[in-house]
Amino acid sequence: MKRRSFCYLAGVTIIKGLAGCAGSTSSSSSSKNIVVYTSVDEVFAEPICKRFEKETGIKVQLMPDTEETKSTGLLNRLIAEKDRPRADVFWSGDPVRAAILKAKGVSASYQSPDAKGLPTEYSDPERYWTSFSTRARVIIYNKNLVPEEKKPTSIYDLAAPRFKGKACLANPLFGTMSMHAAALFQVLGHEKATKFFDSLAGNAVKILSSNGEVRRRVANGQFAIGLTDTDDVYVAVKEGKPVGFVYPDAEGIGTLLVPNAAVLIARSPNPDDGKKFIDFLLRAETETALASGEAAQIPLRSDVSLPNGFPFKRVADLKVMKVDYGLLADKLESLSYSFLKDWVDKNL
Amino acid sequence: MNRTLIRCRGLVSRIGGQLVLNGLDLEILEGESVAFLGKSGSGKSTLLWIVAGLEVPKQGEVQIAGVPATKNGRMVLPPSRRGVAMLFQDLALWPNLTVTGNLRLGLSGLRLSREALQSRIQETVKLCGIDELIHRRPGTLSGGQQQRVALARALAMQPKLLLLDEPFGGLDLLTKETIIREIGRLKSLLGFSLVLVTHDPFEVRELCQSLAVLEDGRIVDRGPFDQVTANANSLLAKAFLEQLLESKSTKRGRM
Amino acid sequence: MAPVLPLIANVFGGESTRLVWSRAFGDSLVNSLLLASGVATFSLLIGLPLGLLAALYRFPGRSPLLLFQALPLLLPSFLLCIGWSNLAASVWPTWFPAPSGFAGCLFVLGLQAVPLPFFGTWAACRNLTASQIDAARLHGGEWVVLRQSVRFCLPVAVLAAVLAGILTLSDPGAPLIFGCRSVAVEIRSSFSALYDFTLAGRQCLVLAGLVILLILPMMIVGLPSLATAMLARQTRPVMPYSHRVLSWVTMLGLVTVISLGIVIPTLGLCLPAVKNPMLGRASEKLLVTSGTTLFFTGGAGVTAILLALCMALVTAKDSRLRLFVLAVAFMLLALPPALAALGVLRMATDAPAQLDWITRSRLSVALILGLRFFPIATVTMMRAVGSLSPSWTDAALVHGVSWTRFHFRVIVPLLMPSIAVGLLLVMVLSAADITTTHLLQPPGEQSLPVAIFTVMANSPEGLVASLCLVYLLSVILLLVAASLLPRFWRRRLP
Repeated sequence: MKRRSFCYLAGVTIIKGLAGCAGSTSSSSSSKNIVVYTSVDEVFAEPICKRFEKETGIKVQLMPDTEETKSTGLLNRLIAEKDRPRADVFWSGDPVRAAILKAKGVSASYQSPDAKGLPTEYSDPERYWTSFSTRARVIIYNKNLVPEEKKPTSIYDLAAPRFKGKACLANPLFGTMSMHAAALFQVLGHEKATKFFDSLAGNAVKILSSNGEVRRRVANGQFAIGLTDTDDVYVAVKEGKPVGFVYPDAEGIGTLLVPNAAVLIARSPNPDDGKKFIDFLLRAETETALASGEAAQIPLRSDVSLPNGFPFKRVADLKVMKVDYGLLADKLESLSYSFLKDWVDKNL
Repeated sequence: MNRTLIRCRGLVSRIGGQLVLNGLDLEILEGESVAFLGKSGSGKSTLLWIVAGLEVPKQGEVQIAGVPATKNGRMVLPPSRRGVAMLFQDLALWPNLTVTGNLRLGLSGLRLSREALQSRIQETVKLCGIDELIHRRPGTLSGGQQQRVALARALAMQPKLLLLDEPFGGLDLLTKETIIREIGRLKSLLGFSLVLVTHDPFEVRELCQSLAVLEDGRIVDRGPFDQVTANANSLLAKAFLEQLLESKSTKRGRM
Repeated sequence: MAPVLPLIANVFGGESTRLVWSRAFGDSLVNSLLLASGVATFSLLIGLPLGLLAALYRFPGRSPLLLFQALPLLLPSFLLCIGWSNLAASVWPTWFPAPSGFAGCLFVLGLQAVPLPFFGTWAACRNLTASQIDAARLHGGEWVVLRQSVRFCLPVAVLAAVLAGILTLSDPGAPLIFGCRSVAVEIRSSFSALYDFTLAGRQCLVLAGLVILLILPMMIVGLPSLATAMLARQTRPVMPYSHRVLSWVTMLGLVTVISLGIVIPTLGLCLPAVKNPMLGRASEKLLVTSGTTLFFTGGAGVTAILLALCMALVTAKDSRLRLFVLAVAFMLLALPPALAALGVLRMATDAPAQLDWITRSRLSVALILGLRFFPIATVTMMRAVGSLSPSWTDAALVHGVSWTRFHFRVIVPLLMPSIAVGLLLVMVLSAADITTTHLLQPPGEQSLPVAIFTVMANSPEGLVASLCLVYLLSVILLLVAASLLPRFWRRRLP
C-alpha cells in the first residue's frame, strides 16, 4: 500500500514537473507575454518593465546579461536563436551591439511613433535600433590619491607620467570599453589611435576585467584613475567612496556617449506587443524614470526634467564626441581581430 | 534404484584463460548426498556454479531430471527453473530486508498466489525453527541464526537439489554441528539431493554418503565412501578418507 | 556527446575564414598548459600527503574538516579571485605581494584544485586493507606505512591532479581577474568579442583534442591502477590510527588548506557585507530564485545519477568496459562547458516548436547540467556498486527474482546513501556552472548563482557580498546534509 502511494505520488510529481517545463515555454506564446533580453543591468531594467506591465497588462519576461566578462553573453544567444527567436525585444546598453545584430540579420526595422523628440544622430537611419537615455564614458579618480588641482582632464592623462602604473581601464575587447576604443580609432584616425594605445602601454596602464572592477579598484585606492561609465561612478558615489569623476576632453575630442538602444527582433513570437514595449521605452517618461532611478542615466531629450541632485550634466551641456555609431560595429570587429587583440595580448 | 537427477557430460570451462574443467563427466542420483573434494583451484565451485546455472561451460551438456539445462555453451534452462537452491559461502542474505522479506523475495520467482506464498513462508519458518527471527534484519543476527535463515530461504523453494558452497566458514564448532544436524534432519524429511563443497571431513561425515574427487579438471574418484576407500585413485581421496575413518572412530569412542 | 554534435557540424561547415591557429592562440595555449601543469603539481604536492594523513590518522575535528575540504571545488574560481582582490585592496600587508598574474592564478587555482587529489588519495587509501597497514606498521612503524601507502595511492593522486590541471584549461575566470593569458580567454574572445561561433567552436575542438591527447596515454597506462585503487572491494577497511604528532600535523594541514582555499577569500568577498549588510534583500532574492535553482540543480542531479547508476550496473562485471567508461567520463569533464550549451542552443533553434518543452525549457538546463557532471556521478556510483556483494545477485538469479524487482527492492535501497551523496555533489557543482545555465535558462527563470553574477556589475557591494554569503551558507548546508545522510541511512539498516 505504502509502495503504491509512493509510486502514485512520484508519478504525479513527474507529470506536474514536466507540465511546469512546458508551461514555462508556452507562456511566452500567449499574447499577454513578451520576452525582453537586455544588456542593461537588471537593477535598472526591472523597474521599467514593472511599470510597463502595470500600464499595459502585458507581462515582461526579462532576461538580463551577467557581469559581461564572465559569460558568452546574450548576444551570442540572440545570434544562435535567430532562425527561431525567443526574444521579442533586445534592450541594449549600447548601440554597437544593436548594430551587430543588424549586421547579422537578427533585428527588424521599426519606426516608433514615441521616438519623437529623440535626436536622430544616435539612432540607426534605417531604424533597426533607436537610441534613448545615455551613459557617458568618464574618468574616475580617487580623491585621496589625486588632489583636485591635479585631477585628469583628458584620456591622454592615462598616459601621463604622474599616473604611471596608477591608471586602469577595462579590457578593450569587451563592453563599453571596446566601443570607446573603436570610437577613438574612428575619431582620431588609425595612426593617432595606435599611438595613444601604445602610450598607455608605455605608462603601464593596467587592463582589468570590467568597468565594475575599474570602479572597485579605484575606489579602494589600488589605482588612482580609471576609465569607466557614469553608472559605475554613481554606484561608488552612492556608497560613499572617496571618488570623483571628469568628462574627458571637454576642450578636445569630447566625451563619448553610450546611449541605450531599443531593438525589435526579426521573426519574434510577439512582434506587436514587442513594438508596444519599444514605444514605452522611447517615451519621455521612461527617460525621466531612468534619470531618477538608481541608473542616473542622462536623457537624450533636452526637455526631460532632471531630479534634484542629479549628478551628471545634460547632453546639451557636454562636449560630445562626434561618432557614427552605425560604423562603430564594423570598426570594432576589424580591431578586435587585429590591433586591439594584439595590444591586449601584449599588455595583459 | 534411484533415478539420475543431474547428468554432466564433457564439461569444459576456463577461468581467466586457465582450463578448470577438462571434459568432466558426472552423475548425481535423486536423494544422493555427494561431497565434492579437490585441491584449491580444482574447479569444485565452478562445477557447482555450472550445475546451478550461474556459469555456462564452454563445452558440454548439463541435464537436470532428463531435461537439457545447458548445451553447447548455451543456457537452455535458467537457474530459477532448475529446481536447484544454493547456500553461498557468504550466505548472500539481502541485508536491507527482514528475514520475512528475504523469504518473500526469494519466493517471488515462483509466482505463487498471495495465500500460497504466505502459507509457504509460515511452513518454512516453522520447519527451520526461525519464528522469533522473522522481523529482524540479517545484520542483527548471529552467524548461526544467519545460517538457519539462509537455509530457510533455500528450502522455501522446495528444491530437488541443495548446493552448499563451503557455507560453514567462521562458525564455532557447536553452532556448526547444530546447523549440520539440522540440514541432515531436513534432508531426511524433504528428500532433496545434496552437494557439498568442503575441505572438512566432519561436514562430509555428517551430511554425505558419497564423494566425487576432482583433479586436473576431471572426476578421478567417485562413489560411496567404502567403494572409493577400496579403489581410491587420488592421494587426496586416500588422505581424506583416512581422516574420515579416524573421525568416525573418535565419534564412536565418544559415544 | 549528443548536444556537441550540431556544434561540430557547424564548426566544419561554418563560414569563418579566420585562422584557428594564430600566434596569440598558440601563446595562450602554451601559457594555459604551463598553468595547468603548475596547478596539477601544486595540488598533488599538497593533496597527496594530506589525503594520506587524513585517511590513516585520527585527528580532532575530523568530520567537519573533511567536509569543508570539498568547498573550494564548489565555488567558481573568479569569485575566489575577487575575494583575494578585495583583501588586497583593504587589509593586505604592503610588504607582501598581492596575488595577480600567472602566480596569482596558480595560487588560487592550485588551492581550488587540492580537493581532487586529496579525495582521490583518501578514497584510494580506504581501499587498502587493514591487515596491509597493520603488517607495515609492525614491520617498520609509521614511515613504512606512509611509504607503502604513497606507492599504492600515487596513480590515483597523479591522475586526479592531472584532471584538476586539465579542468583549468576551460576556466577563464581567474585569468581574466588576475590578468593572465589563457586559451579559455581566447575562446571567450571569439564568442564575445568577435561573435564568431565557428572560430570559437574550432578553438574549442582544438582544446578538446589536446585534452584527449593528454589524457589518453595516461588513461591507458594508469587507469587499471586507478580503477583498482578507486573502486571499492570487499575487505576490512583501514581504521584511522591515533599518532601523537601526525594527527596534529594532519589537522593543521587541513585547516591551512581550508583557510587559504576558501575561508580567507570568502572573507574578502563578504567584507562589504560587514559594513553594509543587506541580508534581507539577499534572502528575498534567495526565495525568488530557490525554486528555479532547485529545479536546475535537482534535475541535473537526478539525470546524472540515473545515467551513472545505469553505467555502473552495466559495467559491474566487465572491467574493460568499466575502464573505458571512466576514460570517457574524464574526457567529457574536461571539455569547455560552453561547447555543449551552444550546441543545444543551435539544436533547439533548428528543432520544431513542439519539442520546445524539452529543448527550450528548464528541463533542458537540468538535462545538460546533468550530462556535464555525469562523470562525477559515474565515479561515485561505480565505487558504490563495487561495494555490493556479487553473491546477492547470484542468489537472486537462483531464486528467479526478476531483475527490476531485485534492483528496486535490494540494490537501490542499499545504494541510497551513495546516491544521495552523488546527487548532492552534482547539485552543488551544477549550481556553480554559470556559463551553461545562463546560455540555456528560459527567460524569466534565474538561478541564484546567475542572479548574483547578473547584479555584480552595478549593485551595492553590500548586496553582492550578502548574496554570496547566502549562497555559500546554502552550499554548506547541502554539504552537511550530504555528510549526515549516510549515517541516517545506516541507522535504518544495521
